[in-house]
Amino acid sequence: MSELRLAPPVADWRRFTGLTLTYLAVAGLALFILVPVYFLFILAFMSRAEVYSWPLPLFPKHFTLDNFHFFLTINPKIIPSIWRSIEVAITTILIALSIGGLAGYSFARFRFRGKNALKLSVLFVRMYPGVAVAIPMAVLFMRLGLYDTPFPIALALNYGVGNIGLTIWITASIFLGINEELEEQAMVLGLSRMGAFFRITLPLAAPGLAAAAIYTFIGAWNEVVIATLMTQFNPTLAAVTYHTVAAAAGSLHLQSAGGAFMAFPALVFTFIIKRYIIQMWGGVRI
Amino acid sequence: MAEVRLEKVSKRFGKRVWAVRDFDLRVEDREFLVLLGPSGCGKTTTLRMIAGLERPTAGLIYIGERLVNLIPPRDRDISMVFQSYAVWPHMRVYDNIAFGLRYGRRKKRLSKADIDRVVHEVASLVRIEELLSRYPTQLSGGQRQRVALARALAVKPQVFLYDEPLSNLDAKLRIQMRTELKYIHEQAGSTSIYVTHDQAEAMSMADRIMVMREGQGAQLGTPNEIYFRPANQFVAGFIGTPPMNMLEVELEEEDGGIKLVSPHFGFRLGEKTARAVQESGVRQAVLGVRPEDVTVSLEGGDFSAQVFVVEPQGPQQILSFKLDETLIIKSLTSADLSVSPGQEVWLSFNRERLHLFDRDTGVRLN
Repeated sequence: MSELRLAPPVADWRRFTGLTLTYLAVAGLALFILVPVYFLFILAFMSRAEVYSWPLPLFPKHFTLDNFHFFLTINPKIIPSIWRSIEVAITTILIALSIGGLAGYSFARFRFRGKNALKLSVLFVRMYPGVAVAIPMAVLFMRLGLYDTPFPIALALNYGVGNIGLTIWITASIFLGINEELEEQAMVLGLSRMGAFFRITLPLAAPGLAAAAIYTFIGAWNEVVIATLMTQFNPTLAAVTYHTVAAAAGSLHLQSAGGAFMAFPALVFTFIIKRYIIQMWGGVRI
Repeated sequence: MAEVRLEKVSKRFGKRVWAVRDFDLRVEDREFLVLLGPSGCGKTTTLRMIAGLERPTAGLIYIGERLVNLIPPRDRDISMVFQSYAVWPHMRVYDNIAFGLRYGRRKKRLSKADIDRVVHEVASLVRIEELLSRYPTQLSGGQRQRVALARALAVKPQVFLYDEPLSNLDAKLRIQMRTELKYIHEQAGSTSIYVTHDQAEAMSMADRIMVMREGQGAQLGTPNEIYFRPANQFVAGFIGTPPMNMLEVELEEEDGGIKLVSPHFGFRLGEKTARAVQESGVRQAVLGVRPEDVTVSLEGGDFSAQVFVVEPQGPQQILSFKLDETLIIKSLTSADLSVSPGQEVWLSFNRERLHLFDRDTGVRLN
């Protein structure tokens, strides 16, 4: 310690300046993201008069839920669409995690011919924008009779397949972080490889897998473009919100309520997975 | 119980890498056999093939009378202790130990009370009874090691497999655990196969040692055979601390006997050794002498040399002598002998314990 104190003042200044600049940059970035989010949420709870008053108060003086009430009732499709969005997200997770998770396990544990090429190729599906194939995809689903069904299977398939590649990489990194000897010990003491996977590996991987699931959930929950193109009478919340907010141009308080309503679940989930992100990406080396 | 037999077992990784090649081994019932060798010699792969965690590329593996090549690990009636201990972090110590009793297929289903009895029995054997309700993260490395041991014991297997179980413990605990493991082996009355790269561990625990090198057996024998009659230069150099002195020598016929000649010394070999050398016809050899067989004297000996370095080791000391630019030989002597670097002393070799190896093949001559 005493040696550190003896360091010349110049070095101290340099360190101080460096730290200050770092903190300024971080603060700037945080403000860039947080200021719009903050205004989105306070505007949602203000009356129309207050929203358009000057100067704009930094906190709603007359706290109101009217905007939300209006948003939820103006379009009869909204309430069913919330449920549908949850269906889409959960089905997407089931597809992505069951296929992607098992594939991720294989990439983490086994050596096989063409492994390197395969693990790269699973990302190909991410290399072009989803919109580019949305129209042909819509046509395809129409022919299959799956277009715009009440249960949004077409959307779930679309998101699910799009997420498998990423899920493979995430889950492989989770499984790699679990010592293989833990499984082998279980196999020696009485389980099959499958049994060891379910009794040992899966419980240990659960927090990471949950994080991966929520990550997928947010993606499916927030997706607008494909949802708009692939639905008509049975839209998801994202699609309905988009239409409603677009139609409410000039009513900032209503638009904010729609945006806040949409963003809230995603925000909550993000805070939940925060703790697991390190585990999710910590061991990336497949 | 069971003997374990390996016949011409080979394991190839990828296209070219032979981890184990044409390996034969017969482990007697209730024997404590140690597979010893430097890293990469194939000892762990061999153990994993016996466990069923690796499939041999060729060869047959028997446990008891049963050919087990196609039998999955869980049906082989074995236990294994891993280097990482492999204690499951999401289960209490109790459940870790009871695991094999609950899910094992080898024995008939045990009642809850029976499982409880066995768990307490093995936990008291390895002295962790007070830890049963804890989670592994709350345990020290040594305690986890004991949990792994208790778990292996609980299923009362025919064969115990150990994969460097002590290498993650600190030096003091390691020596203590050696004694306990040997005691447990005797209590359990099973066959044990133990992999290590630590020769002191091997020497102190094994009934027999199989020294491995590059996927093949270099020598199989009791610790004393391995130490006092190494079959080849590799085993001779691998076993012993400090390592055996190796000196290149010529063997010359002289008056019907054999004289051993080096630039620094020369002497006639004893009759038995000479006969063995004559039969082999080898004239270029390597002479191996263990440091404790190099006697240092101030009065006289085979040849004289200057003390190079003195390394005290408590009751003993290691003396080094530089014979020429590349050749240093070491002697392990009593610390009572007081010498200092630069001093001229006499060295002689214990004739009863000379090791002669063919310089080309490394095979023992005498």
